[in-house]
Order: sequence, then C-alpha cells, then structure tokens
Amino acid sequence: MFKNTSENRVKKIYDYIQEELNKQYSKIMLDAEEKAQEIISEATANAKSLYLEKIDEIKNEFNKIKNKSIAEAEFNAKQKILKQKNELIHSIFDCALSKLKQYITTDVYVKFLEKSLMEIALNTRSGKIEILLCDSDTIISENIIKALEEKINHKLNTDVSFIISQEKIRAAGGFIARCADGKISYNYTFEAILDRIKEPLRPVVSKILFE
Amino acid sequence: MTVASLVHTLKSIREFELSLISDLDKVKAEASKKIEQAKEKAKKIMDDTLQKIEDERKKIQRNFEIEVKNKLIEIDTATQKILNEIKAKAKSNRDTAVNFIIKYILGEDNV
Repeated sequence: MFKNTSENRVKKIYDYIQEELNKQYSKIMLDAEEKAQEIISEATANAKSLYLEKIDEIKNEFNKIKNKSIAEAEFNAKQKILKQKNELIHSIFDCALSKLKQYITTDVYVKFLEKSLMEIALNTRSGKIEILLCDSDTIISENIIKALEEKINHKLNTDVSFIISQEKIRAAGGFIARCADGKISYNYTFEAILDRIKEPLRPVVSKILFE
Repeated sequence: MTVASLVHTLKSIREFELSLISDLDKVKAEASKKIEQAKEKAKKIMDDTLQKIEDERKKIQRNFEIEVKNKLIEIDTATQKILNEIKAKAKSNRDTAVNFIIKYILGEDNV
C-alpha cells in the first residue's frame, strides 16, 4: 500500500514535469516557427525592396543612355542640315561669280565700275588713282575711265584722277584701285567683293533660298 | 520505504532525467532545423529576386534598344525629309538668290 502510494506520487511528479516540459517544448517550437517566419518575411520584404530599387536604377540608367543617344542623333541631324545649307549657300555664291563673268562685256559692267569708282572718290576725295583691270576685261578703255572721272568729279565735287595701269590682274571681273603713293588700295574684283559680302548677306541669301 | 524501493525510485528518476534531456535535444534540433530551413528559403527568395532582376534588366534593355533604334530611324527619316525639302527649295529659289547677289554687287537698277 505504502509502496503504491509512493510510486503514485512519483508518477504524478513525473507527469507534472513532463507536462510542464511539453509546454516549454511547444514554446521552443513556436518561437522557432515565429523566428523562421520572421526570417522569410524579412527576406521577402528585402527582396521586394531590392527588386524595385534595382529596376528603378536600371530604368534610369537606360533612360540616360537613351536620352544621350537621342540628343546626339538630334545634334548630328542639325549639324547635317546646317552643313547642307552652308554648302548650298556657298554654291550660290560660286554660281553668282560665274554669272557675274557674263556681265563683263556689257554696259552693266561700266555702271558697276562707275558705282565703285564713286565710292573710291568719295573716300579719297582727290589725287591720282591707278586702276588695275582684270586680264579678261575688254570693254573698259581709257576713254570710258576719263568720262567716268569727269562725271564723278562733277557729281561729287571731288578731284580724283583715274589712270588705267598697264599691269593686269587675274580675276573673274572687277578691278583693283590704288592710290599713287601705294598706301591705300581698294579691291573691287568680283572675288574680293563676294568674299566681303558673303557673311553679311548669308542670312538674306539663306532666307531667299530656304523660305 | 525499503532500501530496494528507494534504489528503484532513484534509478527511475535518473532514467526519466535522461529521457527529458534527450527530448530537449530533439526539440532544440527540430527548432534549429526550422530556422535553417527558413534561412535557406530566405536565400532562395533573394537568389530568385536577383535572377528576376537580371531577367527584367535584359527585357528592359531589349525594349530600350528597340525604342532607341526606332527613335533614331525617326530622326534620320525626319532629317532626310528636311534635307530633301531644303534641296528642293534651294533648287527652285536658286536663280532668285543668285540674281539678288548680282544685283547687290552690280547695282539694283543696273541688272
């Protein structure tokens, strides 16, 4: 009887301990599961955040490359258009030079000479001015120059004397005038005139050509 | 209580203690295993994400390349159109421009 009672007591103690420990085991397992869930949740959140961040970075990087490529292409296109316009404008001046040659044997050329000599006379007012005609010039004679000299001096109240030089110049048309002392010279060859007017006339020529 | 029963009881307590230690080890091992599995799963999630990012990067790159290529073609076509228009306009206005220069040099009234 005593023995049974004692064993019963021990068994009750065992059962109690076992029960308490089972609770502890359950808690350990529950904690482990919570920890595991936490690890997975954290990894999922980190992965999501990393994904969004990296995709954003990648898109930004490609956007930069895209914008740079497009900007370069647009710049090159503008340069190409500008280059073609410049070439066309340049060809117009070349064409004008060729066409100007056609006027060298006409009255228009004499009028051009008169206009140019008037500018020189207005500038110098008096003195001898040597005129170097171009080698292709066949129309301008000493008589024409003298007649122009008289007309100009009368009109502008100047006292200039134009003399045709024996020296000829190589040009498509026009002339070079130089004062007797050789200090001042005026280049009125078609080439020099075109060179001088090319830049100032470029906007107007461009407008005529392309608008 | 006899000595024999006391010895029996003590032996029984010792066995019970050993059994408890063994159970505790098992539970701890089980808990560690769960955490290890979670860590492996977390690593897999991250690896999958990195792979997904790489796949997405390739996809975005392909799309961007197509987009840029199309845009460049568009710019090139537009430029070519402008160049053709410029050429056509220059051709039709060529004489006017040349005459303007000639008039400018020779005098408006002279030509």
